[in-house]
Amino acid sequence: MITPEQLASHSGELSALAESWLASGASEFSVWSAGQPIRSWGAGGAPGAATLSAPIEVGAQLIGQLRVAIERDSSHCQPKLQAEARLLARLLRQETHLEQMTAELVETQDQLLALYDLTQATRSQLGTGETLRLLAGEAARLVHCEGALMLLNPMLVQHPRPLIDDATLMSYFHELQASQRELMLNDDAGLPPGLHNACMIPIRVRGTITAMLGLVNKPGGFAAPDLKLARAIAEHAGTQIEHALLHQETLAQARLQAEMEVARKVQLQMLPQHRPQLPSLDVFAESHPALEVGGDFYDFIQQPDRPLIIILGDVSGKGISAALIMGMIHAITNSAARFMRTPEPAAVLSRANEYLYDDFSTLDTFATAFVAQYQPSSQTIQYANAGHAPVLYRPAGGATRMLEADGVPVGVLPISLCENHTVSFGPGDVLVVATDGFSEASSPRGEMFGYERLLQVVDQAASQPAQVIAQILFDAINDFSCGRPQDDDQTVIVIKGVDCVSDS
Amino acid sequence: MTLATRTHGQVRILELSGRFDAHLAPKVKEWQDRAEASAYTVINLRGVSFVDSAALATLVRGMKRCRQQGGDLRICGMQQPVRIIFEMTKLDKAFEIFETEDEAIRINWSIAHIKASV
Repeated sequence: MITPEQLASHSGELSALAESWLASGASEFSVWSAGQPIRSWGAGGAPGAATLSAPIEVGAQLIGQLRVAIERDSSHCQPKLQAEARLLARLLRQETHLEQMTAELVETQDQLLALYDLTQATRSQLGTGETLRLLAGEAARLVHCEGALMLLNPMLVQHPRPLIDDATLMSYFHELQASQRELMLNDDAGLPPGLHNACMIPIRVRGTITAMLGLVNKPGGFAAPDLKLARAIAEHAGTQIEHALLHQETLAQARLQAEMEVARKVQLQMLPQHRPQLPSLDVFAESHPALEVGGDFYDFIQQPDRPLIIILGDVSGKGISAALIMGMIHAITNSAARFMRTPEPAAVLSRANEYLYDDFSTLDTFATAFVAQYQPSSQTIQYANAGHAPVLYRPAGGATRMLEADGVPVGVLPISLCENHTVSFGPGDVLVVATDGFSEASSPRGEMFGYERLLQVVDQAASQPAQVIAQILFDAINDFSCGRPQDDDQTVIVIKGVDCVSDS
Repeated sequence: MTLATRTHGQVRILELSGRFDAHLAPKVKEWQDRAEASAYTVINLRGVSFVDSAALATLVRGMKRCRQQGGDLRICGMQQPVRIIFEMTKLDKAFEIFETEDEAIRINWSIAHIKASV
């Protein structure tokens, strides 16, 4: 609507028109609105003067009239006055458009600013609860309604106070999820008491409607701009909730990562920190778990006046559960080897089985293990094998062969079936105790490395020192699997007999 | 990898094929835990080309449970690569192993776990 005041406000333009008419002989120029003169120029109507008039119309609305009193023949003056009235009308219309556009721009800017504030405010909020509270508060403030609510099942926040009961809200939410659309509620829809109007906007989190923004009681009802703004807030809320969830997940992941790192260190600490020092033996061991922690372990027990004991085991499965169980069997075999009066290999394994059978049954696990005892005096190795493979023995100058198990793995049967066996172990003899991460390493085509290849590699590498033999073995399976990440833990002990430097 | 199940009298039979590894093991466990579980179980590995330690642990678990209830878990139809794994780990001493499913079902169950009591 254009008002007479707006017309009158163009006094500059109107004065210029009036002066031009008066200069060309008119006695009076006036502007009328609603039957009343609002401005006039000249000396009042001369008697008998002819009066011309032209309407000022914007669209269908009559804003006012231009009137001119002129004495001389006025027929040619009428089109001029009409043209001037049309120009004025056009000016008023443009002016109104401009004002509307400015108002909209200001409104949009306000909203943008408000959303920006909201983004800034929520950025620092990490907990989902706080984020919801903040969003509800800001939504009510921005849309100018009595209250707002945020529902992220099972969390519900109503600002500034509960206006709708939980059960009703849940039914709205289910309606929303089913229809995938906004829900507009008006007075005539049988609303609960105290509720005049409301709109429920779905919030999508990671693509599905998992939350809802509700706006309650807007004086005069929710208009299109309110909905536009509400949708923008809902969209923002969705992003915000996603961020909050992501943050929580990242935090949990980081915590787990840190704990795994600690577990890895603890496990590495369980492995011997030094190689056993014996004049007649060259010993090397290394373990590469497939994950941060693994189920493989090895141990050297070397005490004064006791034979060197070597233990290697492989707990079924991998990862954290295998690592925990590995801790158990490691502790049992270590203490058996350390404290038993005669820590013969079969006795150590039998003791481990006795202690662990029940626990391993509960945990649905078992472990293969190889225990050996080195006797420098007789240059022999006594060993017992509880289901462990591969163990490869290469006498100096002879062919490599497997030392096969005769006992079942620890934890399979209530009694261990292991017996002690003895092989000679002098200079040049090589013993390789590995885990199935070696024999079962697979090529990209799915072929397994197998025992045959292992036997060949040991045959070829046997002249090297223990550490080099181990390295050749790791290289062989890495080449075979073409750098694919290993499927299983890989652990190896290499023992080689060396010539004793005679006592000097 | 697939699982097929059937029943022969009191004996429940599970036939597996493909790789029996950490992926298949939970499904086998689930089958073991299901209701109407029988103490007399036969696992037919005719179609299995590979078993890993998770699979072996699952079989050991099933064997212990069956024996606790006075029955047994028998294995049949092993392919050569699987047989080698059982031999190397000496689990062939712990299980009753048969060539065919028919033998595994029919041979007198009352002499179960002879080897276990050695």
